Amino acid sequence: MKTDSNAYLTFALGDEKFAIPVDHVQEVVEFGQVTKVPNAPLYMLGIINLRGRVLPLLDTKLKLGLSSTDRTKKSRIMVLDIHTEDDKNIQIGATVDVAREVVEISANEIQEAPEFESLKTAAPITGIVNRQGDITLIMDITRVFSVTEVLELNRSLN
Amino acid sequence: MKKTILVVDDFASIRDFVCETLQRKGYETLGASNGNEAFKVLTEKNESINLVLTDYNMPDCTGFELLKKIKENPAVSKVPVVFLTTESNPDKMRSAKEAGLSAWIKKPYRSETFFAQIENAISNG
Amino acid sequence: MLSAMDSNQKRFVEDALDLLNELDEGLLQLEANPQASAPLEQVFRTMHTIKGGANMFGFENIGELAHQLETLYDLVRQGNMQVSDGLISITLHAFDKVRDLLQEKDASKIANAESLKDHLKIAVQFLKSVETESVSSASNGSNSAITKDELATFFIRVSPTISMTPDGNHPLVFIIQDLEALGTAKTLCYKREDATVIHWDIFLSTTTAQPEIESYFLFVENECKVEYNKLLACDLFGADEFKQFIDQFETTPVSTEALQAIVKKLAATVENKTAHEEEAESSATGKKKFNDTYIKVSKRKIDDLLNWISELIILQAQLVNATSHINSVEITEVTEQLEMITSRLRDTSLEIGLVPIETLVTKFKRLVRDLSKTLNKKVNFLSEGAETEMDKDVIELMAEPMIHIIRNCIDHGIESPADRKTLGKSEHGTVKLKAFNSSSYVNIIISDDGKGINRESVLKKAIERGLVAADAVLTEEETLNLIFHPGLSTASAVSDVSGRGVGMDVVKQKINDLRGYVSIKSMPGKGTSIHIKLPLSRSIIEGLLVKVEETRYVVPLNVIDRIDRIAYDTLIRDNHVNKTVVVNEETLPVFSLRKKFHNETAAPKTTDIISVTVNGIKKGIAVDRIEGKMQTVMKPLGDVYQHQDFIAGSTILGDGSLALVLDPARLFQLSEN
Repeated sequence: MKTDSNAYLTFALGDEKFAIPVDHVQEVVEFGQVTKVPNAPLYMLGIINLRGRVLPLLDTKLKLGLSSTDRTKKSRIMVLDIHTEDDKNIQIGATVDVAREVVEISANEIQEAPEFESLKTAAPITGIVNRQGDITLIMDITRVFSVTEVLELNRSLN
Repeated sequence: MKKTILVVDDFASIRDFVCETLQRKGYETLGASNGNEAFKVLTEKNESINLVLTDYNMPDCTGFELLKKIKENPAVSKVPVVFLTTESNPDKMRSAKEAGLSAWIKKPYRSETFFAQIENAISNG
Repeated sequence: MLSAMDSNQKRFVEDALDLLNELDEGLLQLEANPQASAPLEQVFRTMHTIKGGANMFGFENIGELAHQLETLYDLVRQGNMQVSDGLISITLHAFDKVRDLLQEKDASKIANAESLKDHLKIAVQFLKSVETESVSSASNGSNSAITKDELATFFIRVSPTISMTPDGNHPLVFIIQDLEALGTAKTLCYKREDATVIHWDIFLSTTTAQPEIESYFLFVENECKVEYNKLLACDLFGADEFKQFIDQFETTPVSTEALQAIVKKLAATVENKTAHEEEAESSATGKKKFNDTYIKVSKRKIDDLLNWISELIILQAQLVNATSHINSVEITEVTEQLEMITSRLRDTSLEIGLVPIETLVTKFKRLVRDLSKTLNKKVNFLSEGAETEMDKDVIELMAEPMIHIIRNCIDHGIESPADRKTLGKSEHGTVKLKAFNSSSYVNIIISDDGKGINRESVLKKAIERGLVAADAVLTEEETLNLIFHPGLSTASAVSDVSGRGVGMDVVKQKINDLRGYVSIKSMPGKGTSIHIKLPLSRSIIEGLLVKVEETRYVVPLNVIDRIDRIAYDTLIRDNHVNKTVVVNEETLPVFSLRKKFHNETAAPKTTDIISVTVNGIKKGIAVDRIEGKMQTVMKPLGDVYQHQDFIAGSTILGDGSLALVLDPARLFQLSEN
């Protein structure tokens, strides 16, 4: 999705640093009680109550095929508003190990991602930012959490 | 020899449908869209037309008027006339009978009745 | 020229669509009772209103059409024309076209439509033909007596004066058949040894007047002699005695003395009965006449309002929880009041989105009428409980499935009039729709008195298609439920009328999606009935709150039969999730939530069993503990959880935690794994 503002929310999954356009992010919250919904794939952690709203919570790392790490005090939930490929608007919570700052990234800083997906993680990447060796991968969040994909994975696992 | 029926109705779709139905049963058909045209066709082809099958409610010249015209003209008066209509008023039926109508078929019709009446009218006039 | 519609035009379109519905209803009533004045007035008024609005908002073509048809009905009001099948048909078709047109979003498309021109032509023609008739009949000096629409039973003896056989091709044979089609008839044919007809004796009960009956023989006057006898001004076929009486005359000619005697006898009793029926009918229609004022509100506003009310209910529960430990009389009083008011608000909010299913009923009447004509069947449509209310969205979603069911009734269920006669049934079949409320559900039962479902052929087909093992033993219920299986279609050839892309499996799916239930009952030769149950509200639920390990679930109250507590050991004899236990002296298959979904901590000593009945089948759900009854707002889980459909949604408890609402029907499907 094209974004006019150059603001990105950065966060860490394991050792890697990622960024997504702030347009997708409603807020970042701490972990609270998670109610597990049975019979669902492992990366679907369950549902949470966000001030009266019920949101599905997904484990971003597990969704990307990485092994999950234990929850720490720094773990956070990004509340995302995603416009999916099948033209729906869904709201979900996605876990991150560390939530970082919002930074400005201008278009000319973004280099094209190499054909093979990210170096250490299997994340769909739309670009790479290299600031003196500090590498941030721009993640294509709509692809990570596309509903169709989630459902298909779901179906195949069941 | 195939019998020929002149079908008169101002609605082209109904006229075509009736002609088709008759053709499938083995009749030849001619069509006319109003009473005046029908009369003209009849006087021109009078030898070859075995029956006039006409609607009752038509603009300009109704079926009843056509019936009278035919029966009052000695050249064509022997041709049997049959009405095919949604009308069912007994008084009108009686008037038509007195004017020389051979049969009155009500719409919607069942094909058995329809063909039986037509054949009877052609054979017995 | 404006292409988008302005708000006035939009308003007109909305109003017009409502009016068209009313118009349909009026026309159908008028068709059934051509002499009745109330439907006539309604039809006239409605067309007049449509005409006025159409002309005012730029749809002159619709206005003109309405004007032509209105003129026709004005003639009827003045007594210069009678309501006929032709008139009703052209009116229905014309306004069907208008209805289609009004679905266009583009105003100029509607105003410029050519498609109304044909209907306009037909209407003008009809008008002209009526005018020429009244002119000619006036000039003939004849008095087309408008005879009263009276039901009467006739005895007609037709004696041919030329030789003919009953299966021959003489028009008289077909005329007799046409006569029979005028109502309920019994024809006796007396033949000579050479198979030629001596005479036909016909008993006919019909609303057709005698002059018209006589006109049937007008053109064969020279070939037969006809005697008419009007027996009684009512339907004698309603009396068993009469039917038995005429049965005895199969071979011997009807004795006119005996006939007169029995008619005299029945005259007294039958007339009493019809008087009673008329009374009952008028009191029943009287009920419908309560008057209420209605206003139009945008659906969005209603949805917003209902959302806020749901939030309020949750907040109220949280307040109770937060203040539960505070020992203050004042606070307790206020929270209790709050609870009562919230509960009232909840009830009212449930009702706001509800509308009576009347509009659907009118659609069905139309459908039955059109279908019976197409399929050459005689079908009466009865409805009971049209004032029952249902969520508007649900009505719209259920329209298609119900149309499909009714199509099936007429296409596959109701036999042809000839077959019905042979079976001793009345020629007119009946399709009935009954609607009523029970607890928090709306019930709709659609039934027919046709030939029912052939269980053997259903089972056979299911076995053929591999849906069921060849040696499987199924209960009656299970066999009938096979109808809902996607692999099964009982029509051997897909008939044009039904079976196109909509199957009973789709019907069931749609009902399930609405978290409703559907069951089917059938008796061969007698008929079939389909029972649909739909929840009144899709978001507010009542249920039992239960706990399994640390997770809380809610089991919807309306499927629960009873609860019991048994030792947990009873469940662990095998490793399966499903186990049959004895509860209340009956065996019950039990689905253990703990075994299926949770198995980490040690199980408690006892387990609570909730017995539910779903789709006619009894099963138990085993939980650790039942915590209590509750009523709350259910929130959907979201698209990502589409596959976990055994969970209908979640609900926020007083302490802010979430409970999962179970869908028992879908839960049990899981247990097949």
